[in-house]
Parts: sequence; C-alpha cells; structure tokens
Amino acid sequence: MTTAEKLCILGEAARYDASCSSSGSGRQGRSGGLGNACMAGLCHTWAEDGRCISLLKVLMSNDCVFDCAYCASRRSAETRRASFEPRELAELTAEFYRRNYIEGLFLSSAVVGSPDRTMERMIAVLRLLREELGFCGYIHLKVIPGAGEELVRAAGLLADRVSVNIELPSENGLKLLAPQKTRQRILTPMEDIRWLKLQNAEDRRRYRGAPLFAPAGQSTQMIVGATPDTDRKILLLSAALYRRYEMKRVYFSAYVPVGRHPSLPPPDARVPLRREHRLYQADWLMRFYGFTADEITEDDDQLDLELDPKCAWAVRHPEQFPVEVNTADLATLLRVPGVGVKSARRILAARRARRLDVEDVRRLGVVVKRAVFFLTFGGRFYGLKSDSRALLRAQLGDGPAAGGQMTLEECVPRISVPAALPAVGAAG
Amino acid sequence: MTTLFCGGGFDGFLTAVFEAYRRGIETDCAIRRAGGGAVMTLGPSEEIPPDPVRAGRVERKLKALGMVRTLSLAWLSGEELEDEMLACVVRGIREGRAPWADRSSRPVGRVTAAADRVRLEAHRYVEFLRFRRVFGDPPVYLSDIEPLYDILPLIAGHFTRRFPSQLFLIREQGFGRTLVWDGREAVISDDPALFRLSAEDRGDAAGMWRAYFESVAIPWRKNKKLQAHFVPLRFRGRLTEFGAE
Repeated sequence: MTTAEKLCILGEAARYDASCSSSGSGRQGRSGGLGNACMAGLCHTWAEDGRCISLLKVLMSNDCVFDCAYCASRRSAETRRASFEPRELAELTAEFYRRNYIEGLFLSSAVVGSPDRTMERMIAVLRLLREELGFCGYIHLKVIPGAGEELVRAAGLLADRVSVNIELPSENGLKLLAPQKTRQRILTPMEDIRWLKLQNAEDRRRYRGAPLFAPAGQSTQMIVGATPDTDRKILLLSAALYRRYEMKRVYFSAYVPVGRHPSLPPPDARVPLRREHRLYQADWLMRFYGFTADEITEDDDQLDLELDPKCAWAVRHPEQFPVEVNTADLATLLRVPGVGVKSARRILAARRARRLDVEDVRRLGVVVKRAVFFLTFGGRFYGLKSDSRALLRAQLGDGPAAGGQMTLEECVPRISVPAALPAVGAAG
Repeated sequence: MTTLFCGGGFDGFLTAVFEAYRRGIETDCAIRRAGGGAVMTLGPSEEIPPDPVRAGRVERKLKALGMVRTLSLAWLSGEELEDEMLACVVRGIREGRAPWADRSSRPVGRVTAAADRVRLEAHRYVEFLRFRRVFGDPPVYLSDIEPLYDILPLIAGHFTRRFPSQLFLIREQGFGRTLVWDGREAVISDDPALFRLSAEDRGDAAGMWRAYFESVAIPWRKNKKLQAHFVPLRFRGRLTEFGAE
C-alpha cells in the first residue's frame, strides 16, 4: 500500500477527533532545525465541513483490537485497514510542514496489540521528528487508555499537548458501548499527566533547563448523542474535568452513526450538531464568562436549542436587567447577551473618555441587536416595552432547531445590526 | 488651514508630524500624501521632504507611547487616514498614552480598523502561503502571493524563524517584490528576473495533501458557506488543496 493510500485511509479514520488546535505552546525553533510553534496557534485551511485544519490529523493505525460500538475503526467494522511506519509518517509530516500546509502533527491510533505497544510506535514517530529531523513544530499526541506511566512521561516530553479521550459522559455508557474500556483506565493517564505536569513545573523551578512536559497541557473529548446522557450531566462532568485535571479544553463531538448497536441511535438518525454547538457555547461561558454549569442548566437538564445559553439565562433572569453600560462592572457586562470578553473590556476602557451611547457601543464590537434588550445607555432603554418572555425569545432566537447543519450566522459572530434604534422609554 | 504634503512613506508622515508640532499647528493642519492624486486645499500648502532625523525623533516618542505599530500598519493600508492618524498622535501625546482602547472615538476607530485590516491580511498569508519545492540541492522553496497590501516585511520574520535552514523565495505579485532567504539573511528584492523562475513542485507532497484534504471532511457536516467565510475565494487560486499547483 502506498503512503498516499494510507494517508487517505488514516486521515479519514481520524476525522472524528474534534481537536485541531495548535495553541498553547511557544516552542522556539533552533538553528539547523525545522519549525516552531505559535502560542496563539494557526489554522492553515478549512475543510468542506467548515472545520479548520491546523495539524496533520491522522491515526498511526486503524487496525484495532477493541470493538467500541460508536467507533468507525472498531474491530468488527468492515473497513480498509492500514498502518504507518514511524519513519514514513515522520517524513510525511516534515514534507507537509516545509510547504506550510500544517502547523504540526496530531497523532492518534487504534489499539494495535496492546496500549503499550501502540504508544511505543507513536512515540517512535515523535522521536524521529524531534531528534532526527530537528522538528520544533506543534505535536498533539493522543494517549492510549491503559498505557503505562513511563510511556505517558516519554510522550509528554516530546509532544506539546497530550490528551486522553473520556469518550462517553457516563460509566454506564462505556460499559454498554465500549466494554474493553473502563472509566478507571481513562482517568488514570489523565491523573498521570496532571501529576507529571506538576512535577515538571517543580523541576523547572529548580533547573531552568529542564525539558518542558506537554507545555500546551492536556485536553479530552466526549461523544454527544450516542447515549441518553443529558447536557447537564455533560457540563457538570466538563466542569469537574477542568477543575480536577486542569484540562485546557473539553471537546464535544456530535455522534455520527457509524455502527449498528441496539443502544445506539439508528443509522438514519440526525447528527445532533446544534446540540454540540450549544455545548461549546456553554463551555465557553464556563471558561471565560464566569458562569457555572448549575446556572446554565438550572431550569432544564437539556440546553435550549433555540436560544444560545447566555441569552437563555438572561431571559430566565429579568430581575438582573437592564444594566447601565456606563457604570456596570466587568462581571455584569460579561453576562449581557451580545457583549463578549473583548467588547466588555473595550467598554471599560472607552467610558474613561466619555459616556457611551448605542453608536459608541456598536463601534466597540458589541452585537447591539442582542444587547439592546439588556442595557441602558445613559438611562435610556431601547429594548422591548413588554415583559413578555415569549416576545423576547422571538427576538433573540435562532429559529426552530432542525438539528441540521449550523447556518453561517450561528457559526461566526453576528455583525449585521440595525442602523438606528428608537428609544422607547427611560430606565434607571 | 495649512496642508502639509509628505513623501517617502511612513517616515515622510512622521516628518510632517514633526513639522506640524514645530510650527504649533498640529491641531489646525492637514497632512496629505504627496503624489496621492488631486487634493483641494482651502489654505496654504507646502511639501515636506522626508527627514530621517526628525522622523526618528517622532518615532521614538510614539514608540514610548506604544503607538508606532498601529500607525505604521494604518499607513500601509494606503487609505486616506492622515488626518485621523494626526488626531490620534495629538491625543496620544496630550494624554501620555496610546488611545487605541477607545475605539468609540471616530479617528481612533478608523485608524485601528485600517491597522486591523492590514494585520489580518498579513495573518492570512501566514496561514495561506504555500511553498512549492522547485529546484536545487539543497532544495529551494518558492511561493507566490497576491496581497491587497504590501505585507512582505510583516510576514518575513515569521517565515525566516520558522524555516531557518530552508532556502525560500516569496514573490509578492502586484508589488513586484521578492523576499529571498538564503539561510542567513533575508533580503527584499525588486529584481524582475526572480519572477521568471519555474514554479512547479518537484515532489508528490502536493497530490497527497489534496487527497488528505478531501478525506478529512465529514460529509454529514458539509458547510461550504462556513468554509468560504474562512477561506475567501481570492486566496484559493494559490492554495494547493483547492487545486493550485
């Protein structure tokens, strides 16, 4: 089998891994070497599904001994099998990198033989890249659940980011769909990584030259929609993972029907893309906006598919609004729909120079057509006169949740806003 | 109102700022690019030749205030923003800090928006520039770009740091300039002979990359509008994965 054929098979097999981030590591290039890493990360292109391609995301092999029902590479699946040789993959990565196609490598694998054997082959690729080819670009390595601590340590010293997939939100789901995996086998390497990072920080305090261990931290991914677990459960689990294992990111992957199993959705079931999108929005609120999982899902175990979680929270809490844009503190502004982290900070900076009105706030990047229902501008309120929640929901909603693909407006920040807004009364 | 015509690029603008302050007319003058087309003036006008010493003094002051980068990017945009740039300089010097956080102010908003456009263009070419291995041993890599603004000096550092031992050329179509990196020194050359070099990739990486690009998209999630938002059509002609050689 040629390298090109292997690349197609193993690229296709890796496409359900959600992460393609290359941020969090500022690895410097070295004389005679190849590449470096940007702290903010870089995307090099976007695929037809609208997802960015930053790293060469491939499996080392898709010849798996496990038989997880939700996985396209499971042992019982009728699919073409392929495996890269370590040198073949290392050289391919370098060739792509030299042409500026990629920021680096995202390497995962099916379990070939045993977790330790699989990890050894993956680490061999990293060694060739780092030590023989002088590669200083970004590397994200998936740790195979059940791999030994020494292998995890070796992986972390070569990679920028390491991750272990939590796979499913509940242990029952794992028992049902992935009986060869247990929660313990998944959480143990996560704990190893957390501990090794702590040790590494201590080592580096003592010896400045000590090598970095996974400078971009660890992340994880869970499948959404393969089991009946609720959004509340998923968000509480995510919050616990951030807290307990110091995760950089928890990724969500809407389940795409790739297998038949009595406990899985039928093959013609809709892919829950909007649900996945809402979970990412909720995750963002927890990480950057000071919300807790309990606040986001206080009324219902499932997120509102028609309203984004921040709007849904604001609609449920009319007693908190409107707030005055010229006096509200940062934490309050961050809870206003249409105000992001950047625009909230800009508001704080700009109002040192003048009192802000609607046009000023629009120029600062606030999505006025949402924020206007929750803000006053020098006491003037331009939102709805009525207290009707239904009317407010209609103004803020994304429309019926068909469950299909996101529209462009749902995927990127809204930029079109009404040119002028009439004042409807005074408040505050 | 006096109009000062400046030539010689961003240095010329800084010299005109110096001149405006020297005459005490910084809040009551207009600065225009010399040779920038017909300009109607309502008062006296004068051409200010670029002066590196005076420009250097203004630059040091603005650097201390953290203003040089944004102003130089706004200048590179080529838009007629000289008055807004001068207003920002006057405000920055008066307040003792860069005014960039106050984007609700019209001059600040226009200058920062123009700087952001240039910065975005440079960023996009850091992402979308594609090299082809064209000839030689050690191999030489070549790339052609067609930016809206003259961003070659802005992206040079990124690529020389990233590929310290890889010989490469980046040809900026439209501006007729080429960045040449020989592994030791980066030079921006106007030599038209560099544009006659062959540009066909010697290797099978391009074909494999195209096949990989096709294979990683999930068919059930197809969203070409989102793809078009992130990869505008004007870049695709030179992107390997969209069929460019």
